[in-house]
Amino acid sequence: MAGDASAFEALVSRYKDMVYTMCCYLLGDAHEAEDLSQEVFIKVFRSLEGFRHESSFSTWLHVITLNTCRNRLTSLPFRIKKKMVSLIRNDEEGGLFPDIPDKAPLANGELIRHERMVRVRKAIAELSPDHKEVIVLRDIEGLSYEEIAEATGKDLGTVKSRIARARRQIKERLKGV
Amino acid sequence: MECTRAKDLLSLYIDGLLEEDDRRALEQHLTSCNACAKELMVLSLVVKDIHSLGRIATPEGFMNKLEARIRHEKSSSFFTRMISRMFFPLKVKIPLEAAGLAAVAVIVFVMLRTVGPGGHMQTREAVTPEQAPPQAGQALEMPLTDKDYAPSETRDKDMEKQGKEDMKPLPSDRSGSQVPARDAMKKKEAPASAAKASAAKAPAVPVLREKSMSRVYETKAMPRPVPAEGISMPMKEEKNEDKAEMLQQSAADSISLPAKTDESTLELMIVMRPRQPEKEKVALQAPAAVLRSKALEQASQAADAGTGAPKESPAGVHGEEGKAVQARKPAGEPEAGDHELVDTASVKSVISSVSGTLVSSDCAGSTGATCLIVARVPGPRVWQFLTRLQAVSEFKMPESFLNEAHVGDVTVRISIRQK
Repeated sequence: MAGDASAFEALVSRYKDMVYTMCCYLLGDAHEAEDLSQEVFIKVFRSLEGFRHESSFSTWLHVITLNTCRNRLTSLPFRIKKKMVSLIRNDEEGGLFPDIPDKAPLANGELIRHERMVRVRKAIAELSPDHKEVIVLRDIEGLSYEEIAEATGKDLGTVKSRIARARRQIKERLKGV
Repeated sequence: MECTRAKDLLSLYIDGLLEEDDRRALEQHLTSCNACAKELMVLSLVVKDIHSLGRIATPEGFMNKLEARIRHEKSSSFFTRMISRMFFPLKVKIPLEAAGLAAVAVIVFVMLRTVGPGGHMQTREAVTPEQAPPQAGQALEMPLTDKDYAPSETRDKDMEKQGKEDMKPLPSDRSGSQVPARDAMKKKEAPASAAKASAAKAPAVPVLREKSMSRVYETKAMPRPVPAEGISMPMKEEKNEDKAEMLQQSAADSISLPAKTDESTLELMIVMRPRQPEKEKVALQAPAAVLRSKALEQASQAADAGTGAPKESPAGVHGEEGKAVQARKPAGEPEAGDHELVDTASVKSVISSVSGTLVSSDCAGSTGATCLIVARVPGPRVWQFLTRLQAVSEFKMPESFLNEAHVGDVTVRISIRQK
């Protein structure tokens, strides 16, 4: 697979949304997420030869994406930028996610649903990084508890409790919506 | 089942991952507890909402940008990649930069400590004697004091042998006398000070010179009251006072060196050379010739009078010369030349040759091996006096004293020992 440009392109096409979504939720910044997604695929491109097929490729990709996001979250420039952005932008979603294209005026029911989606995203964005990871992997990416445990490097019990706690926190934040 | 336990299990219940027993127990609890049932309903809606979020599509041009980055990644050299890997993560970059800064700071600090403000290697000359430790002070003054460094030790041994503890110079004598000398040298040889200082720091230099040196005694120039009596006058208490005085003096000298125009005291510790044949001695001591001619006249007169005194015996000449000098001494002093082992006559003749005045001459101790002569010498002729004295004895020329202008009389205290 290594060196095969078309195969790599197919691989990127298949997984780019997954990686980008994870980066968006974990970083909470669409522009950073795009840059980081490309970085993830560059890492994949570099280390594809080293992939030993001990786990599924998607799990391996999740691990790379999680580690890259963790590194970016702890980097000083990102933290400085995040503080500055949070000070400047104070809109509903905080510019954390790419805007939904406003191609047509939304119907009343759609508007309510869209409003709720924004609230849910914001609630997820307010979680701690650990809780964000498990919620994204479980409820958005649909990974099993065991896969999440493997990707995050935590034991199954920790993953279970973190998912339960994260869901309760989101529920609390969505009260009244 | 309690509500707390039930609420903890709701998440797993929604995912269908509860064990059979827990699932039955929870379902039984939910039928009886409306709060937990409501909680389950709300939580299920939340999970459904999260599921409905779905994936976010990458922005347009994502693939092109990624392709461009990968192409750039391929084209960059291995070295560039290594550098970027090494320096891009701030976890590595920041500690490396901090370490580099610390290293530069240490180097600058060391350079500033080593190199003086003038740009040359800093010596310890700027350190005052109070600040400098004794060893550091000696090392500093090496260019001027290397001669008397080792001989002072031998001198101390000699003094111990003779039991003349009072003759021992104070530990601060060296610094007291050498600080002015050092500063005088600095004035003269300011451009070459860096080279000399670096040469002085080399420990091998004094050792090498030490071997080639003859026995030279130390001099010191400091204001000191002239004792009314002989050599044994300086007591230990006086030593302490002198030490304090010398410390003050050295501190003052390290700051500035004003020309001394009033009367000052010069202390010399000299070693007389072995007695020379009378003819050579006479040649050396030009003023003594006058005295000797007078003595010869007196001897001839005595012979004419029938006293039978020898006419030209060397001893007689010496004796008469001693008497001639002795005529200037205060009354009550022991006869010089009768029991003295020290040849004070040469010194006295030198004193008189520069129009100096003999104040006192004492030879203490049963052996008479050490004498103290106090004399007043006109300030402008001190240099001449010392030059002539050096012809008959060995001592270290007090350069610091000579570098000062002395208008009035200079009191010279000469401690003499016979070689």
